[in-house]
Amino acid sequence: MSSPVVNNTLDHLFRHEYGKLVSLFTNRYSPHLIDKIEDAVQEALYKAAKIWSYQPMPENPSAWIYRVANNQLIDFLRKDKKKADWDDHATSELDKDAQSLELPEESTLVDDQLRMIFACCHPAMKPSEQLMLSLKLLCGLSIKEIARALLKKDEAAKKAITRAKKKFKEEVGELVVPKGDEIKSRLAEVLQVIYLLFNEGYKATEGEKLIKQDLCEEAIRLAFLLTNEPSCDKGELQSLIAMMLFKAARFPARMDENGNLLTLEHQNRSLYDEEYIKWGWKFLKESSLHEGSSVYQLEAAISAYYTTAKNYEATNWKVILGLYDSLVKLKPAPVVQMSRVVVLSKVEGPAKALKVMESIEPQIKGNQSFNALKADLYAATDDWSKARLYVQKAISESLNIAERRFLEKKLQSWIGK
Amino acid sequence: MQKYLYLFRGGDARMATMSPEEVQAHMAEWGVWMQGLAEKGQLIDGLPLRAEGKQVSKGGKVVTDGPFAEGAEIVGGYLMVNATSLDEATELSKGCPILDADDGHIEIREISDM
Repeated sequence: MSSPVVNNTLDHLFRHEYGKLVSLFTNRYSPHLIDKIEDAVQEALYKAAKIWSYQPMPENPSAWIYRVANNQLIDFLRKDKKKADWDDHATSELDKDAQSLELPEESTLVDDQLRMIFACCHPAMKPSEQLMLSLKLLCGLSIKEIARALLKKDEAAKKAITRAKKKFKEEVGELVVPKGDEIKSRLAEVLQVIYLLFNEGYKATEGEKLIKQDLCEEAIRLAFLLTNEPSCDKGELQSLIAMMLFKAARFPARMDENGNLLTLEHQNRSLYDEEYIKWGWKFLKESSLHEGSSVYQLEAAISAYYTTAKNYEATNWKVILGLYDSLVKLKPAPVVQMSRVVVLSKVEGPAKALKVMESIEPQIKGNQSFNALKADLYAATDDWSKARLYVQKAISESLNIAERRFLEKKLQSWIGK
Repeated sequence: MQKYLYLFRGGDARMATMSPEEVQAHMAEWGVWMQGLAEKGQLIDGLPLRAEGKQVSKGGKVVTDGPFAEGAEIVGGYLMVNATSLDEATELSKGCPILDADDGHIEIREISDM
């Protein structure tokens, strides 16, 4: 599979090589050996980096890293064989290392990663564990990087990953893509993890911008990998990809030079990534060939309308409202309800929107973005004292600096009105 | 022009704690530094050294395993450069990424002409 969207250059060579090789070896030997496999791949990357610090990289760096990691691992395993309680499969694989001298073909590597995606999203694990394990084993992020990306403490991330890995060793067994009826529910879980991964990256929270963007790219990369699996239901997957592409297209315009968050209204749309948008349309069209409309498809269509409007004022609010009406039925989550209210205020005015907010308030108590939205709506009705009251509430509940800064600026501009 | 030898020691412990992404970034830093030397025509040759080795002494009668040193004392690699003086060679070495590690250091020796 190749797409101009997914970065196959040297950009993240080592990180992706890590995920690729860990998947390959886990398939070949056993999930029980995951710690040894990770060590061997890591070690091979150090060796490669040391040599290539002094001399140019060979033409096929992946093949080189593979050979070193493979030798390392075989050495490791031979020495360990006596004391470890190995399964027969791994032992027999170790005996036929003649077949393993060369890096397998790309298609085999893709299959290995596909099976690994399902293994990392095994139902024995909680969604948060599935997420972290995917980041560690498939995306090649270190524990430190995962902690930074998910805004967790190093220690907490480490504990969670250790727990997830224990389940991975005990529960996963042989790596397979589930068959028959099972694939449906398992795929839903996998898509959920990818969606979670993307949203973690997309969330406008403080933290390093780069690593956040990397999460989004990884989510898109994993979703692209899944398109290689024929038994996956394509409609949902394509919708999810389209949604991610339309949103990721806006990345270059989301912050000003000072790192301040810009809302859709103030983003410079000429900075949007056209390549992402083009591919977004392609996937959205393909997804519409499949039956029924899913949550992902509605979300993709909504993002498409937002991202491709000429400017903020020209956004087709009516169509978006219609999409939200359907979405809210399938997924009545607070964030969906509130987004719908925003759109409603554009179509039917802020007063009507405030009424709807009252009706959903009991479900969404004490929510920071709820109060921020309320403030905006009161401002739009020229009720400035209430607007200031709610924005102050939102500021006091704000969890991250970028958001707080954004709200404080708003409050300042409202003083004296 | 004189030839100078850089002997690199240390830095491995830091590398062992790096993520794949950081390992690659570290490698790229070396690349930039070496490229700079090469462009000025000052880079002659260099390679990393493996930890394994032998020590031969007593007229070849005594052979022992490995370098005696360990950790940050072991020579991890070498580089040969052209420079006009020991001072210049010293200045040049200061851009080397090995110095980012707490235990990374460089020994600089002039290679004597016959």
